[in-house]
Amino acid sequence: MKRIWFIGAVFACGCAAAAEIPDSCVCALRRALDSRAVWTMERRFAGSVRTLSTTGTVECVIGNRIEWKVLHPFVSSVSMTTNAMVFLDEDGERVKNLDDLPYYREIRKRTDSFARGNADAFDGLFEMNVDIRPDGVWSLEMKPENRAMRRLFSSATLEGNAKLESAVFKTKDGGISVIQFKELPRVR
Amino acid sequence: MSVRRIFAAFAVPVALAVVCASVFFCRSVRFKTSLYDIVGTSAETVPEAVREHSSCLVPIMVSSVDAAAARAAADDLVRRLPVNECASIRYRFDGSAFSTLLELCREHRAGLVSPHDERLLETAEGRRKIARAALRRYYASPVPPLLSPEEDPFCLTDGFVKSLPVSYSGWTQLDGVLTASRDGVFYILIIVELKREMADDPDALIAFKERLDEIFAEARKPSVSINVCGVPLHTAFTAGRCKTEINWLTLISTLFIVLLSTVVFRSFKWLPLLAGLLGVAALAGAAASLILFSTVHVMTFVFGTTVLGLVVDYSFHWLLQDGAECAKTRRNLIISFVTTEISLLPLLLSSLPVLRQSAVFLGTGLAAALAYVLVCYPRPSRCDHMSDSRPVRIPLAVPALAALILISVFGACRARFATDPAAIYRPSAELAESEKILAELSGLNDESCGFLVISGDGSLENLLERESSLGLSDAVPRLSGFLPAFERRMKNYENIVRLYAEHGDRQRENLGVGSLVTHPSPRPWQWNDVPAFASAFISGDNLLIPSAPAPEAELPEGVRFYHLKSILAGMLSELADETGVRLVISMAVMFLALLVLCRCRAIRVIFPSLAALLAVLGVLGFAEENVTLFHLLASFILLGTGVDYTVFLHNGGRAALKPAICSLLTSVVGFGALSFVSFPAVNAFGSVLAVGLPVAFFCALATVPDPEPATEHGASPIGLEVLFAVYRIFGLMVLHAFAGCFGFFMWLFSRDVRRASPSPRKVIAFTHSLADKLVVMANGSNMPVVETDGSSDARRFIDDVAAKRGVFVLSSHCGTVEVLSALGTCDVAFHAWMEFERTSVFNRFYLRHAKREKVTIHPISSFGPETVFTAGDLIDAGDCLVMAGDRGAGRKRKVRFGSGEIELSEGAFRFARALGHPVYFAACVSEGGRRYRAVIRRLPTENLDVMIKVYADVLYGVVSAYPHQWFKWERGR
Repeated sequence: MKRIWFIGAVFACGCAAAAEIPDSCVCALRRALDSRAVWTMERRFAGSVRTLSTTGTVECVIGNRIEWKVLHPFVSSVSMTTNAMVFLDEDGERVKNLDDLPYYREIRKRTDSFARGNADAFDGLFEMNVDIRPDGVWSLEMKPENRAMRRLFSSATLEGNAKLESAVFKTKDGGISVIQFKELPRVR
Repeated sequence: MSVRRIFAAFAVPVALAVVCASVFFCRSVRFKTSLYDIVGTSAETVPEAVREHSSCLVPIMVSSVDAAAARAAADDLVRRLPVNECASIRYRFDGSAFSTLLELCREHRAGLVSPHDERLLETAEGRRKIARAALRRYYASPVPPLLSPEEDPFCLTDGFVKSLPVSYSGWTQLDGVLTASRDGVFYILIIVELKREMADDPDALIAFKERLDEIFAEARKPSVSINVCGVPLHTAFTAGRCKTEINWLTLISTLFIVLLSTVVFRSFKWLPLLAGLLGVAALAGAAASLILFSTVHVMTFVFGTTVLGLVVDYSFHWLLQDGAECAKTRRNLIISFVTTEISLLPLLLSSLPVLRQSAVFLGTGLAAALAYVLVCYPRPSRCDHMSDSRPVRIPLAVPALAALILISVFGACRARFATDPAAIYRPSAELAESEKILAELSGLNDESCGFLVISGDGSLENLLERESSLGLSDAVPRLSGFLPAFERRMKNYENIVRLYAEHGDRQRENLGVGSLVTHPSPRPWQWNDVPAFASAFISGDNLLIPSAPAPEAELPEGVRFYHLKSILAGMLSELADETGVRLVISMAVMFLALLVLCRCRAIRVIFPSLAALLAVLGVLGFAEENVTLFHLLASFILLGTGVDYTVFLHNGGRAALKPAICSLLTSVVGFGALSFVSFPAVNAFGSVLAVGLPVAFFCALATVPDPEPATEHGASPIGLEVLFAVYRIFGLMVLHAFAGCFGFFMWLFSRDVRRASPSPRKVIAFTHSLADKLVVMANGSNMPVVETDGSSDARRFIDDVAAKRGVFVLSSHCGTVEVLSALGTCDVAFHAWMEFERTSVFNRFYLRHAKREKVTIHPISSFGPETVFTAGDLIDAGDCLVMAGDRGAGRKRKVRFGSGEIELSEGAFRFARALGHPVYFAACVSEGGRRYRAVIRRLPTENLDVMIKVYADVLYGVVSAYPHQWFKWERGR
């Protein structure tokens, strides 16, 4: 459930600001919703002595699916389709029905709405702060308004130019996760 | 009207109002409003847990085909809701519940694991999988864990939270709000919980509903619908509707009573007394209910208002009576009161609190009203035109009555009893529709809506263990899902210790944390551990689980399934049976009471009530209206009121007709108006009385008996038999002593007797006279010793009698003429005539015991030609005829009587003359003990006027000499 929250939040964060952020940012986020990328995540929990590194790929097809694959250090994947969520790891495949995952349904609905051009689809979810550098690189910091979401992360910062390049999630207790995206050519 | 009475008339209601107010403020009386409280408070039947569960909840559903529009409307609505009246508004779950849950997990994380992890923890391979899955989660998922890796290196808390249900009874949490969809319509649920004190205050609920309606009107958008339901709104709707209707009907009834009183009394002066009476009845009833019961149901006051319709009858009967008939009216009022109280008596023993309370209210109200009438009301002035004691007759009464009963029986056969709760409680169509939508969206219906109630010894752990032992599906929301039982947590804890021992160090290294926080050992749950979001599962000291029906046999001890509709239907069925039995008991007790009060007329007195009940049943049968508990309740009132009509109409003659009609009109208008009230319970009450009262009145009129003669008032066949037995066993002396005592006590305790005879001597002499009469009739031993006054007329009388010349004795009510037969001169028989019906008690006694050798009394219905011929034959044969000259029917003649005048019956004198035999005046006066002196005078028969004058003079002489032996009790002397 949290995973869905989070994946949704990654997109929702940027989308929530769509009404007030520059067009370049909106374009980059919408592009991210219909693209394929390699990601690298560096995570450090509060009180931990070292950083956990993970790599993988993500593939989004607007109105169809979002597939988050982990390649290292464990191989696993989670796919969000229009009516289910499919988990695949060394324990096998597990399918969760849409009806059992109301948050997923909500996120899907909002994300699809955003992708269709509704800039207000994520309104009211985040308090945001936009910063655009002269070279066109934008930085979008978002703080969740929902207390339940704040339990997961205290702020999320998306950064990019024409494409979404990174996402940084910070937790209240000082933990941080930095995800770097590198877009791959689309395989049709 | 005396100043004292005026003062009392105003002071009593004021004092009662003060008592009522004091009791209300000093005792913390709670007022109940719910349907459950009408049918019973027994925790055995419907536990508090179920009854109180939803009594404060108001579910509001905002719906639209457009989810965003529904959400916006819901947000807007929630902002407008009146927060002061609400204990809470459950709408958006903004994370506080989630935070509470996480805090709970952090504090009690040992043992709080998902069912999936619980199974894996059992084996070493499972524990390895848990450790591996946790690593995957920490590394691979972009989602941070709920707790830090130091606190929860195996992600057990994440697994536990993930396993909790995200939907509740068909409602799914979406973006913090509960939502559901049906037929393309998106619904959002808002649950308003009212403050506890609001739920017990119908006025506050009515105001809340009105406020809610206003808010809905403001918040409603074209594409958005708002549906609302819930027990508080049902109560508000019913209470509001009842209040409005009853206010109107009370106004109409009061105006009618005022109008009728004005027309009947032709004056407004009695209205304050009437108002005082109604006030006294209502206040006394309310005060008694408030004193005797700590919780009073509002329906008690609704039923209690019927006391007003009953007590107003007392006013009419008292104020419209003839002033000279006070004693009779008082007696009738007391009989009426006693019978009504008897009809209410079985209700006091009922298991229904409302019935007990209503019985106390009505019983006390009636008693207070009767006392008020007898003490504070003025004694009406004498009004001869109303003192008509002739019975009321209606043409074709018997055939009409027979037809009525036949039709009623036919209709009664079609009557059906209803135990469906809907028969006594009809919600508004709008609320019912909303309730239906809510039930459908929640996956419930009438058949599946029930509760499993788990009760125990107050320990939360025991309750959770019982709940866990039920083996309910994980999909069923319940408290043990959030708070697993201690035993289960201990087992998990032991497995977690193994997990840490086997994989802890490696996990710590892989996650890059310095040290792991050890899990505290679980402890049993306490009530204050229960998080607020899970409080919906708790009601009192019980756990509550909405559930499908469960077979009773399969449930462990302390767990019961309650299907509310079935419970209500069962309870209503039992209560209807119980009330039916009590109605029969009430009839039986009333019949016994009437046997004592009215003796052989008891059947006749109770018949109109029974016929009215039958007619009501018949009408309900023809109307295809189901008979409910409340129809039976109204039958108690009908039973009592029907007997009232009979008592007044049967005893009061035509004089009672006017007050009885007024009483009927006020009752029919007052009670009949209730049949227009939409609340079925009150409606049933009104229908029964509106139909039953006129039928009872008609039956009472149709069964009016022939009048009993006034002369025999108080005569008792049993009393005469007792006197005779005393005489036969103990002799004349004891009989005299017995009769004397009886007379003295009668004088002592009866105001009427004292008024008729200021001295007890006359009453004692009268009872002695009756005793001697008995002895003569029976021709027994210790016959009185009679001597004449030795006059020439006396000697001539003895000669005429001895010679069997046939003499006519014009007697009087002075002394005891019957003892004349003991003169001992010869064996000539004395004949007298008595109207059988007029003196039926005495005549029946005479026919049973008299030897009829010396005195023969001829019972007749009227003095007709055949009596004249018989009398002529007897006197011609030489017997003596005895007839009273100072009393009788027919034309009266006024003659001088000392310094005043007396009315004598002319017919007796004319008849004596017509027979052509010697006519004597005779009066036998007692001279103490067995001794009698016979005063005998020959009356001249040539001239009627002279004859009557001589008679009057002689009578005056005897009366003057023996004033205490003139037993003429009629009014005016």
